[in-house]
Amino acid sequence: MSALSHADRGPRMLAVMLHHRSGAVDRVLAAARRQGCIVTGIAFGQTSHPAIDRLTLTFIGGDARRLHGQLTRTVDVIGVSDLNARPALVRETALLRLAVPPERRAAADAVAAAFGGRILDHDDTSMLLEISGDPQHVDACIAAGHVLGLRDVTRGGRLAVERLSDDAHASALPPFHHQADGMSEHLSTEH
Amino acid sequence: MNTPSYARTGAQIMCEALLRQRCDVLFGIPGGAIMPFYHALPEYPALRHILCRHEQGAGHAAEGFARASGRTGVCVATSGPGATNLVTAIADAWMDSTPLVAITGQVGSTFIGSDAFQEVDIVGITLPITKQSYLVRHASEIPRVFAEAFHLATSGRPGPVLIDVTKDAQQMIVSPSWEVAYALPGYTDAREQPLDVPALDRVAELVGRSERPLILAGNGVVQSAAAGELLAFADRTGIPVVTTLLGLGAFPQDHPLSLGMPGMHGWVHVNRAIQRCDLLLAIGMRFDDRVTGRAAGFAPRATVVHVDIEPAEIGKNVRADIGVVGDARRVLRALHALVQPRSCREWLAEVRLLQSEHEPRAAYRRRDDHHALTPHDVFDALNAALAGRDDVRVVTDVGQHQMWAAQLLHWDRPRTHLTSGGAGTMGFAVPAAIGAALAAPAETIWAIVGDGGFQMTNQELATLVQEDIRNVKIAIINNGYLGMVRQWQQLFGERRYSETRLSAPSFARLTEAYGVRAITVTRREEASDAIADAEAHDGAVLIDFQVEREANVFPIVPQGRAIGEMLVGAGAEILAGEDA
Repeated sequence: MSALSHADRGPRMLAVMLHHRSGAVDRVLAAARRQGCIVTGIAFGQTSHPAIDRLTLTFIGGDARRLHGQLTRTVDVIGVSDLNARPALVRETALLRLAVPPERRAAADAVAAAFGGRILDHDDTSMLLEISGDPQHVDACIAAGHVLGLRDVTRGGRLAVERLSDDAHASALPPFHHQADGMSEHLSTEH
Repeated sequence: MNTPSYARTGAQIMCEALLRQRCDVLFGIPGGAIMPFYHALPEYPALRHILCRHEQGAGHAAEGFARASGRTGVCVATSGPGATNLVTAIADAWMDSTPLVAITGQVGSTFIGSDAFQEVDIVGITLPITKQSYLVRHASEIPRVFAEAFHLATSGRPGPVLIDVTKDAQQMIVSPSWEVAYALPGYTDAREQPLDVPALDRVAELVGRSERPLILAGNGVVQSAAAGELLAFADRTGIPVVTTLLGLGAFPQDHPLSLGMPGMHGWVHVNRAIQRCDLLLAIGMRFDDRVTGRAAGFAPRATVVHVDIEPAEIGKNVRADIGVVGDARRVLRALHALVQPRSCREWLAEVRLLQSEHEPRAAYRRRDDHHALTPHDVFDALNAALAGRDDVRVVTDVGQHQMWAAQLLHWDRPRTHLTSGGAGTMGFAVPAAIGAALAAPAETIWAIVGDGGFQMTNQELATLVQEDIRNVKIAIINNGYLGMVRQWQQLFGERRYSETRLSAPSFARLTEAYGVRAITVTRREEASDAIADAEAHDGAVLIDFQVEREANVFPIVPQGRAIGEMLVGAGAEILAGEDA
């Protein structure tokens, strides 16, 4: 029985493998809306195959089991992986813009170091910090940023993959080789 | 791989692509953004175009063609309002899994997104109601897109596909390549997937040891042309058969194992059989709420086996103890080979006893003395004229007349009962009958429609006349109300007839103004003669049956109740559900 059928608290995550064509993402989001799911995160990008994208959808509420079914039914969806049903690694990146007057610069550097963040940019009064890790880690860093003086935060959406030990369940892609690959001829990328 | 071919316009390629998909009839209305296509159309006389009066009518006509023939229906509209007028028909096809390709013109590609004249994002609007949609901006895409669209519309679980073609793509001159592969990496045709053999073994075992098995057959049996397989399987196992609204015709109604229709307006003995059965074989149906009533109280004693081509349907509305994904025809064939012959004599006798206690037509309290013509008189007369014939199809609209037709007419053959099921689209019948008439030109198509639904698409009478379609006969069950809503207001809304009384023109004079013969019937003695007259006339005929105004459809399962709890008459108590 899939974890989707349990009334878990907290966000749900689905990894959706999509044919790279116009409207494919729209269909995923339309299906989520229709099932009453409130999307709280989207991470989207190309996979190792140029015609296939991976969308990691994080959402709360709604009928997750029906959403899974409706996505499976969608022509542009190549595969759906329920990341709540199996061990998965979840990562997120956030960019924090901090108000850092010179007298607090040392404290800000210490926070950045403590969270393993990278200072991407700074001037006399502010700092742009990149933080990456599991969502709790990002939350904790943002909380620390509030203490320092957080101006704004840009979160990238949760990204998740099945653990290597769970490879059997990882969404399989069709093979792709950069040269003379029959599959790639069949997979057009429509825009 | 590229076959050399002479250059031509995108519009010509569209026409050729339709011919390559064996399309020979399409329904539509021209307009600005689709004009290049219509300019090319006369060069392809094998494509018969039916000019409709409203795009909704074109869409329903294409649906009627598809439902009657099993082929893909094709409708065409221009951009903007032309395209949005198709939306209802596309939604209808989506709900009833009807293979439909809707072609719309779009403004020139450089105008897209600029709020140009007659620009609407029809791809965006129809995303949730299409199996797939395409925006074609370049003529070279047309061969692949059309091939994919027809493949998707008909394969697996059929459904509507939208192709939106920009005006410049229609005008562009290219040398098309027809040898293109589908670019559908996420799509598998479930008809070709291997069946779950262990699951089928378990089903066969359950069939062997169940005491009260029941088959619940739906649209999937019709769509997969499995009526013969269903009949053979039922004969081998002796299992009684219930058919949903869209499954009517999938099993011959005069067969000893045929029980009738279940659900909100199903017969008492049918709903009771569902509540009592210990094995429910649901084949090619999706447990619509009009079938299940309160889903939690549906078939409480049964092991539910759900066979459907759509994996997402299994367990969606009603728990499935065993799900079998597959085409109904293949599954029935496989099961047939696995089951041993048996009979269900005692169980069938039990259901027939229930039936005798709740004799269907007794549920209708006829008030013959007070009404010159009841709806039931009309359906009796239609049955007398139509039952047993193999050259008649019936298209119904939505509302009371639809339920009376489903209950009271005799359904024997697949694709002879065409109606708007899931979407419940009033206005479906007249245009869908036009489509069916073209799909079955040697047969008579009866459109049965209420006075409300008729007034939604009656302009298609002009289409009948212009296209000289002679084999459509229309019966209006005219009670001067939006009858089903009025019935609910009467039974469940304190008789507050809010906005359900409906005036109408003289339907006979209106019809004659279109150049169609019309007959008005007000007395039961006239009904049969009028029908015979209509049948004998070489041309379309409309009969306005002015019936008892406040007749009701019974039985009815009140909203939110289990299907065992039924109201069989206006003054009656709700029958206690045995398993409520």
